[in-house]
Amino acid sequence: MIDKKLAKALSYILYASLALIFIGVITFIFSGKGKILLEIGIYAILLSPLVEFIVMLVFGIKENKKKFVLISIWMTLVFLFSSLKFFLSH
Amino acid sequence: MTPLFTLLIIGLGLGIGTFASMLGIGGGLLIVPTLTLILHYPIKHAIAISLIGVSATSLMAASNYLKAGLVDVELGITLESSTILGALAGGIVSGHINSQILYLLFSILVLYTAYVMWVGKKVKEVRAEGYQHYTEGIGASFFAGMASALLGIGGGVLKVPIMNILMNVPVRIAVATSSFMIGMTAVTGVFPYIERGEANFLMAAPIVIGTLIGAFIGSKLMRKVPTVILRKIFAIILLLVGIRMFLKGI
Repeated sequence: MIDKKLAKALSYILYASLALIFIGVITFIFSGKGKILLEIGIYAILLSPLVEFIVMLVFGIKENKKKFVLISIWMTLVFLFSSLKFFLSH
Repeated sequence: MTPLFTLLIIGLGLGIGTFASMLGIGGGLLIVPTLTLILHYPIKHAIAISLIGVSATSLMAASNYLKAGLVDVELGITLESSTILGALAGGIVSGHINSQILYLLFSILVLYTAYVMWVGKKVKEVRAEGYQHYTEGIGASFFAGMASALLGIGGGVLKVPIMNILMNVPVRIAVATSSFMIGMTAVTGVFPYIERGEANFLMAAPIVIGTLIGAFIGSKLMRKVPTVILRKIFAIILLLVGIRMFLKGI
């Protein structure tokens, strides 16, 4: 059950980010603009683990699976520690 | 970056994605040498771009494997709890070590992969139920994460043997679970590079587009091309790449 939810979440992120990057790159090739679009697309890819952690956390709470809850909190903390400066600067 | 150069990068990404997909390896192993040896890009910048590319391809692979029910999510997150820490450590350490050392480490990895390509993958047939050596697997995963962030690779080349050979996980599950883990590892590892200003998104975007389209083409071509011959040819190319990277490192 968790795999289907994760697959759905990852698909949405993939399609959204790909669409943005693709439009951004095409616009850049033809007009020299579009940098912001492709940057947002890459940010979406960079945020994908956070979405996975949230899906796992919600699943863990709903299904009463302590392991999922603890590991997703741990991974969120490591991820935030790694990306904190980046997010603060944006 | 000119529009023409962007097209060239998409083309390179397309070639990398096609080859990598046909050979069942991650794109990182090809993105870093392409950017450093052909385009003379600094290795740390190439690693950052490669990590972004790897994250994108992993999203696609993980989503497909999850849909197919091949991923052991519980095993994946258990191992990822230490892999992610290794990736963070690797990303930070990379800022403090010399580029020459990165060239040398990368050349060792490339030469090892060339050897594996030449002799064929060592796969353990798993019959007995139940995984083994969880603690060792978690410990080894830390170093796989560190290698991933240090060298700009997905780390499947390390994660799959850890799961299959050390932990007794069936190879299909190991490959799928490794793909599921790669995205989280690569993204965590890339942030320290971004903070140091070593990640060029304008360069990463065409690589992402090219490798994803290439991965799709490669998965279709895979059934039509004799992979044994392809692996031997590719082993020789990797051997030459490994030697060139080693020479750049000394």
